Amino acid sequence: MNRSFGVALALVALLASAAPLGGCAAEDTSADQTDQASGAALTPRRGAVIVDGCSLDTFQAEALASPSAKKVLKEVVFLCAVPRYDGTVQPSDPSALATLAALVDKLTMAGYSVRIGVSFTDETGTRYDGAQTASLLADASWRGEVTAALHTFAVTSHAAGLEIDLQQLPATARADVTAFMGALSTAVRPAAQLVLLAPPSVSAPSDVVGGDAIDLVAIAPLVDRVRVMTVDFSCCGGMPGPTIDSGWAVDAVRFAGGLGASNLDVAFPLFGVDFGPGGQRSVSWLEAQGLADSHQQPIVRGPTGAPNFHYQDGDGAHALWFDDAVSTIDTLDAWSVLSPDVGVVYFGLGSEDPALWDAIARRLP
Amino acid sequence: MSCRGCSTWVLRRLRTASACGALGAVLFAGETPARAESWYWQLAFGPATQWLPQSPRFSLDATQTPLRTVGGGDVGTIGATSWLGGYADMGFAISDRWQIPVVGIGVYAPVGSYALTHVTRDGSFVELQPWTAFLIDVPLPGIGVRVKQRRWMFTGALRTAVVIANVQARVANGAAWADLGRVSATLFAVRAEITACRRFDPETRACVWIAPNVYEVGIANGGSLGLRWEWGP
Repeated sequence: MNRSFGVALALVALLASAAPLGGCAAEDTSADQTDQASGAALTPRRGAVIVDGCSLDTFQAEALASPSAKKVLKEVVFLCAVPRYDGTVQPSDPSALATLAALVDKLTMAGYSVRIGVSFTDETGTRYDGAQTASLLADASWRGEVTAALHTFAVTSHAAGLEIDLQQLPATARADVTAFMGALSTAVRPAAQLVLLAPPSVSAPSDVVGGDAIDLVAIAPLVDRVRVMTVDFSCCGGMPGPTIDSGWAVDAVRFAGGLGASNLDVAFPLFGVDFGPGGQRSVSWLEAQGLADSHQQPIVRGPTGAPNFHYQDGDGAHALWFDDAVSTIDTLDAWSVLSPDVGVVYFGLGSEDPALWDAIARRLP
Repeated sequence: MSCRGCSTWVLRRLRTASACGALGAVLFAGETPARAESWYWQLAFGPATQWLPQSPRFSLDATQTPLRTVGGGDVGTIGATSWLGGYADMGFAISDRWQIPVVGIGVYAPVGSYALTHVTRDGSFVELQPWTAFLIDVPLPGIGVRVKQRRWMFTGALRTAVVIANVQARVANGAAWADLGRVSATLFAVRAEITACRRFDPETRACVWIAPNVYEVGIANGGSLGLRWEWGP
């Protein structure tokens, strides 16, 4: 019996010692994160890329000429045309239009469908003045002049269509926006395509500036495609953070689909954002790497996988968030929850990780 | 044999094993245990380890976070895991020949170091933290045979179990994480237990046992090893 009791005690002691050991699992910080999606093929989607401007620099041209980009992208959009206060559309000089037409022809020969994006900025070409644009849209004669000018612009540039980018409009412009899109649809379609670059609303009333000015229910039947511009997730005076959140983007696309838009794209930003004391500015992947190197700052990944780091310079503390090939592919994989009919539009050709198109192409079937 | 075929085969045998265990319990329930009678209660407890090359797939209920409502569904696995814990078990023996395990309970926590597991759920990135997991193992009725040889006793049994596992998870909300609480998995298991015991007297013995998983998450997916102190003729 003594021996039995001793053995029993030994087992109890072993059990008692095992209990704290049982809680001794730890995080292995030296190991890479286990990503259960890595290696799996991405859902093939219709791909488009937006170029901010009327021309391509060497980096952009080489990217579009690569076999990888041609596998990923089928459409190129030049955010080039700007309606002016006087009802014309710029650029209007013959040299610029001829150069643009030649570029469009070259890309078309390379297999891309090329469209002209229309930005309703002020005449600096960089700033959106929603109130001024709303007052112009309220003028039916101005709408008529711009509609005709845009139609001519599309024809002259040999583009396959127009893509309309209306931002920061007040809700009171809703009816005028719909009327304008209706007039454009009549003028442009079906010979050319008409596409709307829509604000990424996830609710009604809209949670983004300018969202309530876009009546998707009325506009969706007037256009060939709606690109939900799910970029600038952390912007406009908000806290530093990633340029996109994949779940938020899914909600924005679903919301647009719920309003009747059937040909949808979700957007992915190719640029990063430097959040500093003076405000925010867009940065490219190369600039982000250069800043991290020059300030000797380690780059870490945030919850969405977006690389980011902090640095100090003369004007204070900065937080820089951007995307690379890894974070882009992770987001594309997260979007497997979306219908394969939803395309992807990449915003900001020339700002991306140089390895991006090769990386995406490898993961496509 | 396809996986679908395997599941059907296993389920048929699980039903058979459960029916035998239930029949045994019904036939002998209410009998007063005594050394001279045909069935005897058995009690056991001890420490054990488990090894699962494939861990179960966890699932999440639809969850509201500061950013959005994340739809419910599968959130994947945490990969191969090793566990350590303790258990208690109860059953009875019939005619000193048949072993009928009835029910038990075990609680296990992971051992070792684990990398974070990133998955996606409804478009959002979800992070599972394997080292925060715990596992509740509820062995259910089974059937076995036992042989005594002087001071040694050997048992072989086929045992069913319900396993409940859960792990801490969180979801990306822009630049921050939002806590999802614990995501869980519940699964059915079948194990083959082989026990070797050294008897100290007619009713107490110390044992070592091994139980390869016939089916747990998958076919032949790991197993358990443990020590046991048993009471009962």
